[in-house]
Amino acid sequence: MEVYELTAAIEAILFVNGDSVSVKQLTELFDADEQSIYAAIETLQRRYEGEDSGICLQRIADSYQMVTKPKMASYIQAFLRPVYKKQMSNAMLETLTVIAYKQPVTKAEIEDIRGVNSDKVISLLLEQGLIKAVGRLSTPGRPIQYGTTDEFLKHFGLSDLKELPKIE
Amino acid sequence: MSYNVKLDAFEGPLDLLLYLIKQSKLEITDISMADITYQYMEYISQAQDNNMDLTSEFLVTAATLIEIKSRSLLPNPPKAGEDEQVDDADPEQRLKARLQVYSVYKEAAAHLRMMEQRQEMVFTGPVRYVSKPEPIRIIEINANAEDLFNCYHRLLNRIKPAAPYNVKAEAISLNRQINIFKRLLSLFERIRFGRIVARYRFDKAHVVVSFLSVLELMKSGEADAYQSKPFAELIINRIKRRR
Repeated sequence: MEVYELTAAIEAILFVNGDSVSVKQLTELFDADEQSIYAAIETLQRRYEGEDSGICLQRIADSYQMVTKPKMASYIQAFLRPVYKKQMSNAMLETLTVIAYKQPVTKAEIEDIRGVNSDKVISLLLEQGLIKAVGRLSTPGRPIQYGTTDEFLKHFGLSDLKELPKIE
Repeated sequence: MSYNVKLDAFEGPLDLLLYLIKQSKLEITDISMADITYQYMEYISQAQDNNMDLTSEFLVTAATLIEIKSRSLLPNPPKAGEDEQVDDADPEQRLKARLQVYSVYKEAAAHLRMMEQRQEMVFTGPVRYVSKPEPIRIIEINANAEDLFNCYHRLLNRIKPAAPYNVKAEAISLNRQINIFKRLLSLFERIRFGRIVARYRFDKAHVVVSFLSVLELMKSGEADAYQSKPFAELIINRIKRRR
């Protein structure tokens, strides 16, 4: 497969899928090594950089997703009207913040920081796929430890956890 | 003084305390927690007047603040060392340390909210779940029934019987429980029995001792209790002392 063919094919896959596609999926699909996949993605990214392009590629951990540029928001909203993206509640955001910065973290540790019971919020976050169980502590009761998911990165437009704003 | 902010606007007692500290225009490190105890209590009683569902966490913090306030009224015993160290047992230091940590996360949450809002400007194509299911991996095992039998026996030999685990009963002092109720009644005119025992996860022994405490307080004329109907919530009322 020629390099230009691979680039074109990856672009087509990202377009039809809508959701993010992992590099691993692409290497398996095209029977290519990671390097050529990354090279193709870089070619696409450079092509979209121009002011005359309305889309770009967003990295989420080891996946890529074709998304519109923030500058296009007003046109898209006018076209699709009404379109609402749901903001999460303060309780959910606060709990998610603690998990994002302190992961892996148990429910007890979360509640100690927040000072309130967090049962309901944690199950809501699990339900929405923003967090997941990542392990268990070896202390009595073997409490579940939580961490964030790729869905979390996607929601905040982060490529990985290193992009979280610094605290303290 | 009137307070227009409703309690349910706060995520919890720590959030409310941070707000009160901000109102006083002081830093966490500089404020004396005893000074904002009054404002905190004002919120709690207002919420109770409005029959709001007050979570037990607010009450626990109220008790902590009262403890801090009462300590602040007592003369300070001279400390052994000259230099000021953070005293882990000091409830004020402990509460302040928690507030510091909480405020850091609250700020980080505000940052994330901004990122969330920025991400609202980004759209994707309609997400189609067209991905193929994960291929089933087949692992070949070269073994027969006898191998399995032997393997299982080796496993059984390896497992040692677990040592019996002793559960120690927690001693609950009736006097201590009476004092807890007395303290709560000094803060609140009306308390719900269910709320209190919920703090002990409805542990049977705690429920019994708590109930005995209520009976004891009724006997000594410090409280009375009623239920609107059988098996309804048990409400405990403070009785004003006549002099």
